[in-house]
Amino acid sequence: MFLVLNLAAVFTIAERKVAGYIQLRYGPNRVGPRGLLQPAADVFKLFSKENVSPTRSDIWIFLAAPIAMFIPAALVWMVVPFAPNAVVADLNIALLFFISMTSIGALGVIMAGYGSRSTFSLLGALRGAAQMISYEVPLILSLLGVIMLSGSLSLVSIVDAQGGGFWHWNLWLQLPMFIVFYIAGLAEVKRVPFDLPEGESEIVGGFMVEYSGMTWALIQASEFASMGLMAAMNVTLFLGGWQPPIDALDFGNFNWIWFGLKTALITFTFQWIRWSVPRLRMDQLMDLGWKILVPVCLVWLFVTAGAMLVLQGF
Amino acid sequence: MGVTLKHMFGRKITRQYPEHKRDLPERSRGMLTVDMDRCIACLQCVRICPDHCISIEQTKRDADGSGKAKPYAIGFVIDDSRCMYCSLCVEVCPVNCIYHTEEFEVQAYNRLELARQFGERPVDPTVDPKPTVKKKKPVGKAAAKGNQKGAASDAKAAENEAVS
Amino acid sequence: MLSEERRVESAALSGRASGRLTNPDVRDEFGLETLDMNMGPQHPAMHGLLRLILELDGETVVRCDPVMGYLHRCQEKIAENRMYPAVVPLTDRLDYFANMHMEHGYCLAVEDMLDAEIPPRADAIRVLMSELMRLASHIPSIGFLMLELGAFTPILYSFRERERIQTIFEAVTGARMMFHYIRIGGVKADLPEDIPQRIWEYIEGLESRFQEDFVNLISGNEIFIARTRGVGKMTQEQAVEMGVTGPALRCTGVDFDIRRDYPYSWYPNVEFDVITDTEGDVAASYRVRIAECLQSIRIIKQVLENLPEGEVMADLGRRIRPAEGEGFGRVESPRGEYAVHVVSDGSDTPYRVHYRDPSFCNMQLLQEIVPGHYLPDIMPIMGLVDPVSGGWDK
Repeated sequence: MFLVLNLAAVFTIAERKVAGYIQLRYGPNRVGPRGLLQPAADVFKLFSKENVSPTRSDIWIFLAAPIAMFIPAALVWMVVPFAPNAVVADLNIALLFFISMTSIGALGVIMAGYGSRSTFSLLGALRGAAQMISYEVPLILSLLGVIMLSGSLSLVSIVDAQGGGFWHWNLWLQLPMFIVFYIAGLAEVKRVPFDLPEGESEIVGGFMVEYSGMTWALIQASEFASMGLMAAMNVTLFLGGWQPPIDALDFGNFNWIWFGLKTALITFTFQWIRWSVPRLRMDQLMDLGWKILVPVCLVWLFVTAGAMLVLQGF
Repeated sequence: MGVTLKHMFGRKITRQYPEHKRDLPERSRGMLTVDMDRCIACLQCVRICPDHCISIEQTKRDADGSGKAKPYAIGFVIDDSRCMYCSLCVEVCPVNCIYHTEEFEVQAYNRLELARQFGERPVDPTVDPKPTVKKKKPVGKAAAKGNQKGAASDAKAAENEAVS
Repeated sequence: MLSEERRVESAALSGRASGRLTNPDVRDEFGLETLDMNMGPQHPAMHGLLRLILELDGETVVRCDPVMGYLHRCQEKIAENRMYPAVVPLTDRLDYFANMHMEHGYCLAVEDMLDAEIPPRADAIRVLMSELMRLASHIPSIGFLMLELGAFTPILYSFRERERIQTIFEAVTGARMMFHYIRIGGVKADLPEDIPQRIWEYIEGLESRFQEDFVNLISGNEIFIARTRGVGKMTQEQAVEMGVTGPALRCTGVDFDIRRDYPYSWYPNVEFDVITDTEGDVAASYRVRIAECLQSIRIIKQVLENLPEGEVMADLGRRIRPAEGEGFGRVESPRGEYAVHVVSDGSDTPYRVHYRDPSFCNMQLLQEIVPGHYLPDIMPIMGLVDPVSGGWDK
């Protein structure tokens, strides 16, 4: 929990600096050396703000929603392997755990929107629900290829199966699946180009428009934590987890450096995309999910299965 | 998207404001200021100001030792909370005593603090200034009628002078 | 005003409203209603203070009524109490993205009443400033369109350009935004010595930056194309009937530009193309604006090359007191046709000043075009109209 909250804080400053640099400006650079203490300032500010809630809102659902959004994002970090022996919980069904927790995140969004009892929130929540549920299908389908290749649902064994240099990474054998998982991951975390539930220009915050102060901070933290989680999952499943690119650079138990570098790279690409492209409209988003990503997944699944069958025959 | 990446590693255009301030061009219209030694209290700036920012209290005083009592601005206030920096007063002043400086950081906790007094006696900035308008002297029949009216308006003008 | 049936029918015709709502039997049986929503005056992306009363069926807009007036400053009334030259700073604050055009329109109207002769150098400088202002207005318009679509970066590139143009304006006029430069009878003061050179250098830099920063970043982006093609489609008849002018009209194909059809000031001596596009949608208006920027650059270059010598202010006497009568001046502002009608009763102050503002008149688009589109499409349609709240509210 401590790690996740700190990670979320670090991601905020990273995001703002990347945003600033892309936009020809420095990000925050007043607080601390080059602005690195900005998250601390943000946390102090948000603690001291009042938690405003609408009068008509259903207060229990309203307050439970940020918690429901944050807890799944934090829990899945427990099964992510950082280094050869450094994983908090080595579950046999880690991938299944991951998938079920992301579904609970969708529930949190609906609770937030419904509990706020305001039109904008409701619209945002409904969009969020539709988007997150429909993108779980490509998300799960894209994992099937990896599971078939590694033969297990446990993240530790998936990473172990990718050992021996970067040509063993799942990325090369499952490139379409990687792309699908990447895009579906973006959609699950509700980041641009899929940030319609939180569409800043039309519905000003969507499902989280009525939140302020620490409740809002919790929602933002869960969003950043999930973004980091998706990046970590991308890395673990497709890019080799903590495996070094070449065996010579193996650091043993310090391989979390490689894990950190790869996750940072993927997070950077998330942020780069966020600040470069506009957002998709709802129907276009649904088209993309159902009509493009799912068929790609299914086709590549059959290709992988067929290849495994044929190659095992030799 | 390559465009954004290229910009990300390029030069930034932010200017760190409180540390580095830009050189303002010479025509910049900042806050107004008055050179009271040159002011002849002609009240042109009061008349032209569209927002009624300037108020002048006028008396007759022999300020430059020439022996004749000339109009003298004993109170001069510019209300910065109303000024829109249109520079009409600067253009209309016959002796160029009111002009723009390069200062633009005007702030105060109370709106009345923004009224800057330049003369000896403070003038109330909240009262709308009403400069006296000289009427042309009518001739002929109108002159006779005007004499009666003239007496009344003279009295009124004296009253105004006594009040302001 | 559209009636209830016609509204829902138009939404259904576009294929986007749900069939349930359009079928009266189903509607009554299930008690289906549209959702009344307010896209209120407080909104980060509303181009100002505009309230849109929306009726939604799911995500489709069935009715859209704009409510204006949140920035009304009684400018037309205040102008009746000010002397003629003192109204010019007031017009600056109308459409604050295109100040020069606003001043120009009013000055043309008063000069029409006075039958004044403007010296040619003043005319050329007026056109130079107007075209620079058009650049400074179109580029942020494109930026705002992208901001509303969700891309947060192009607007910062736009404002970089606008800042540079504003620095040039500051060197010429003394202020960055409320210029008060174009006066009745000419312009306030001549250009400083180094300004034509500076403008020339800036324009040449802009041409290269324009292509790579805006056109490459935006035009090829598939998401942008998907979001703007086919959105806000207007026919020529609709546009003309609603009194739409400016890029919004030219993107439907109607060839009307006041600079060419009712030429004023230095425009008869300048060559430029009037850009039209046949699709009447948001992507077309974006293309029209980009091309108009390039035409403005062309005009600026021509003016800088042929800048006449002479004085910059006509001698109109100490007091501007036109005879009783009316004056009319019209200008092609970046948003459309901006016209001023001044009525004088022989005294120092006008009797009536009326501003025909393009933002105000183009707002009728919203009521007619938006029903039938999805909620997220309202924003690109606002980008097509490109209103400025000082314009519609005066």
